[in-house]
Amino acid sequence: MKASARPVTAREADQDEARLVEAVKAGNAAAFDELAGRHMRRAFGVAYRLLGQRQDAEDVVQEGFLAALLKIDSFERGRPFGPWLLRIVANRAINLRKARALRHADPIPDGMASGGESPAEAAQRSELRRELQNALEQLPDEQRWVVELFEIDGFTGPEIAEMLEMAEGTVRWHLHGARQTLRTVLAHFDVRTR
Amino acid sequence: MTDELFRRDPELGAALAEATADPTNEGVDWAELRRAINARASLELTRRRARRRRVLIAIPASLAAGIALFVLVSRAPGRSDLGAPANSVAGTETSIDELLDANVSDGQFRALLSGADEANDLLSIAAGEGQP
Repeated sequence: MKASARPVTAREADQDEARLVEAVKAGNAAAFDELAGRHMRRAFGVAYRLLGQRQDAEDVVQEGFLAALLKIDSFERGRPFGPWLLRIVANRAINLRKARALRHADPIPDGMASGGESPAEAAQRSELRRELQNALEQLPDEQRWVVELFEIDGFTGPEIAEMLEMAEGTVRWHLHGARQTLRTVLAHFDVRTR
Repeated sequence: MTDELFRRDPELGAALAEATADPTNEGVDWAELRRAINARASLELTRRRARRRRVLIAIPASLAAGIALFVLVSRAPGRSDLGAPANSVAGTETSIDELLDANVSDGQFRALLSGADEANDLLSIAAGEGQP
């Protein structure tokens, strides 16, 4: 029978993950499956943010996990696995995006769901959404990725810097630029709707 | 340096979350994605298991071979060990019985039995000085 369900500390989780990585290095399929289960949603989130398209994001996640496995021997012991994997996924997503841009086949991001509200509120929200979407589309790619990964997905500055292979200062710069643009949109909308 | 910039802006975050699609609500079949990830990795995982098996077999085999080689070398009759107790004064193999019958002093006898391997000791024995 199992002992009391004590919460797992971050240190224990890291050690557990380090054990999984060592097992994967030895070819343990169950350990790899466990890592996939733990990280695929976040990896998909990053890929989706960068690509704006589900199918491509799924492909990039699969490729990212395989690439991580192929170079797992170079993975430094004691480092967290998640950011390392996300960096690989983000790299692949960015490369795919560049390739797609060359083919002029950039897809329009999939639509959004709306909650239950009055028609006037719904119209207002819809307008704000549209304006923010337009503003996001006008942003340079790096600014949009940084602001989405930071403000929506909750990644930290250093995590984004590692993922997108940028200096932290560059991440700050992009975040600052994106926020300025988007806050202006929000401010104009507030003034108009009051 | 305090990092004001890396503080989240809840209002902007909420507005952006509403304006952009939530990746986790994109109708992803997570079980299928996990299966596909595992399927693509299976060949590499099999290769790694095979490589590990080879290493696990190779290490004890090399160890065993090394030990066997050491034993063989240490027992080799032609070993040029001046102090080997089984070597006679004349340099040929000598049995314990021959040694007992040999006409040598006590010191020489002890030196031969103990395997004294210092050249000076052996010279002393040869010069008939007795104790090594």
